[in-house]
Amino acid sequence: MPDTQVLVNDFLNKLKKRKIEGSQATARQTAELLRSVISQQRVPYTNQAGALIDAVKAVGEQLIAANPVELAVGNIVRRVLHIIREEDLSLTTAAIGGLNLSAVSDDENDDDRDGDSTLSAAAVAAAARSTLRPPSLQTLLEDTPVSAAVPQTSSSGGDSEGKSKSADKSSRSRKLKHDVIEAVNELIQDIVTCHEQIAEQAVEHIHQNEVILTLGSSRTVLEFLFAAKEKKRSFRVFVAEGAPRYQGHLLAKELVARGLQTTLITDSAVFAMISRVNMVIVGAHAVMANGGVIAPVGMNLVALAAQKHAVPFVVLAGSHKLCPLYPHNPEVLLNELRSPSELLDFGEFSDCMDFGSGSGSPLLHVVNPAFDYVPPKLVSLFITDTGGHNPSYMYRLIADYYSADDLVVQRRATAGN
Amino acid sequence: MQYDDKSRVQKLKKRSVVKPTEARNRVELFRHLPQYEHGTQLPVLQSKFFQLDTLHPAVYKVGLQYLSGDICGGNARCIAMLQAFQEAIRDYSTPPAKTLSRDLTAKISSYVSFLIDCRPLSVSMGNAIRFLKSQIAKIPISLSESEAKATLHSDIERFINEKIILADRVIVKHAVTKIRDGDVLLTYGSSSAVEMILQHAHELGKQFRVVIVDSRPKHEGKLLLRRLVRKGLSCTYTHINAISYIMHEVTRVFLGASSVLSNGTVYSRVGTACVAMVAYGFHIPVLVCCEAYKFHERVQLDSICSNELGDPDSISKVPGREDINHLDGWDKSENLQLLNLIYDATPSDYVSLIITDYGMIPPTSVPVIVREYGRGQLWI
Repeated sequence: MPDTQVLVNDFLNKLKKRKIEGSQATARQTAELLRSVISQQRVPYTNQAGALIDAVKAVGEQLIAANPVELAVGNIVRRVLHIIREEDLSLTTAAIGGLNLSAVSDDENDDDRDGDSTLSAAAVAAAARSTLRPPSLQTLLEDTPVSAAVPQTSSSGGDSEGKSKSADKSSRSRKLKHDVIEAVNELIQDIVTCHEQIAEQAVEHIHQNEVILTLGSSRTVLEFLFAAKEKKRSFRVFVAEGAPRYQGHLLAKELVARGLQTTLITDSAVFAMISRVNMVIVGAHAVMANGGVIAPVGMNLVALAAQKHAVPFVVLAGSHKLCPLYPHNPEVLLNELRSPSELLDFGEFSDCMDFGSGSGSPLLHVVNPAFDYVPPKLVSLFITDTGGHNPSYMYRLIADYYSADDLVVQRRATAGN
Repeated sequence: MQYDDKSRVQKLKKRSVVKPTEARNRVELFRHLPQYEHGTQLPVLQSKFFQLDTLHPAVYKVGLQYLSGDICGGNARCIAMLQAFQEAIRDYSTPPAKTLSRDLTAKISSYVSFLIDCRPLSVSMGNAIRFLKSQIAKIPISLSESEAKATLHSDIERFINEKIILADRVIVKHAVTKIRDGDVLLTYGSSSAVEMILQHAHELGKQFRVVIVDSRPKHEGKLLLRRLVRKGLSCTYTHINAISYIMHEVTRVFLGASSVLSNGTVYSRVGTACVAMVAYGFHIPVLVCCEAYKFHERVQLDSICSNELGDPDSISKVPGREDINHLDGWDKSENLQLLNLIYDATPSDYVSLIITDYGMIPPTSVPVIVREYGRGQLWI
């Protein structure tokens, strides 16, 4: 426990001081931290899931409070809580239905026992879900193959033995932690490889002689465009520089290094150039449950201009960016104001900072927001690692990834659920 | 403007005093506009100052000021040019076998092509030159040279006074009626007309706040900010990407214009269209302040057919932020182009009202003004 406390404090510090850049890095580090919290957590004999959930909630609450604007942290905390609940449910139903399953399995493949352990747990979880809970879309689609899949995954002899031993509680508790950690590893894997899965869809959307506009810099967009270039699609890119961070310069440099025709424009020229653009492709900081997008500042401008000229506005987002919260007043609550020194040089304008006569308040205010909110009606398409979706569909994905009990991450005084 | 036609470009180069070098990485979409390397001409021209006898020194000086960016803004450029022409006309003397009107017109044309080489003409300058040439053509042959020159001098004086200085006062008088106590006014960049309006309204004692939106690469809003804070106005400063954030608080938007075209399109500093579009989306009235001499009978639908391209190097560098140096050596790579647009065209549906010296008119009435008070009938 002391080790994890040090790790947690370290991470909290980094979050508070905004030392971690980007939602992917934040998500990955949050997942790794929660994995070590879970592995270090002692689980009692009864109600292991409750103990794990409490531990994760305690840490998660602190993490979310450290940087409320970085929504990826909250997303990952809720994903892990959902994983714990799912794995617990699957083990409970497996214990109940253990007799049925052990009868079905015939082939005994001892070789890939380790690899199959998680597969069988997931398949069992799917089976359990379909019987005990109203189905989510995933289970609806998996319904018929599941019963056939269980013998195909050749739940090996070792596992069926493990299932029959599931009545033994100590091995069950180990199993729960083990399963949860395996699932968290899968989650980390998904986070790390989300770019590739999104980039695979690039060929479907970019044809020949396209003109694409983007703002600022996003690694997802970069990989997306590279993938299209690999497949020999010819297109040109207009990059808006994205003041005051000027990340568009970085993106332009990298695109040019890969041989793409790039033109760098200022943000004020977006309306002027958008009439000659075929498609706008941008990344996002977070995607809210109503399909709205929290994006780097300036994105609303691009979205409005694209709507006026009927240019498709495509947002690329990994599934770790999907947030189950609805945005109320996002410009204020989900925004951060950065230092005015990025806009005005303090030395140059120090004389203007003096207090004005009479009212006693300064005459000069500088506003430098970090994020912009794009309403769902301006977005044409979301491309995530699970495919392309309409903004009106995003709420459905939430049921797959998150549990309704976890929307407010708060440690309850009474333990257990 | 046909800079994509090689033969025309050759002819132009032969006549010109300024010898600009063409930019290496030209943006394809703007092939029809001149794209030159900036920063190469100024030292060359400065050294040639005492060697040119075809060009009057006042005109030469104004040309250099345009090239270096010392004089910026439609009204300022127009006034500087007309005053330089006044001096040139004062020092002019008709050569023996020629008539004053034809020779002077030819001389003015050569001055104008020099100024175009320094920096393409703005619409205000173009209208002023047309006025001057028509006045020269109207001079009766019977008039002596000194009388003709005096007439022209006073004509130019009257033009500047009536069309620019008095017009601005009328605009200010109309516009302050649109400002109420408690207003939050947004303006973009630095427009001389809007600045006068805000200062006058403040002097009248109205209580309001100003939001100044600025953008790269010129950062003209900083100068306006300084002048307004000096006068005691409460100002908020932000950059163009943040307008969706700040537009919630704003009650009115005041914009300046380089010109208003006959289909109601406002041709103004790049970024104006973005501001107008967001304001329209938030149902905030957009008021454009423009003197009537800047109206033109040309029509334009987008910002690409006719525009001006500035120095691309000012985009690759960010003054004050040395860490943003990713694009050093950008001209060496053939895949990268930097585009520095100077103007853009705001569609007329985003504009609620145009305040001119002929009154406050909707954008659809601009061709009426151009026709009734257009060329030849410039006096009210």
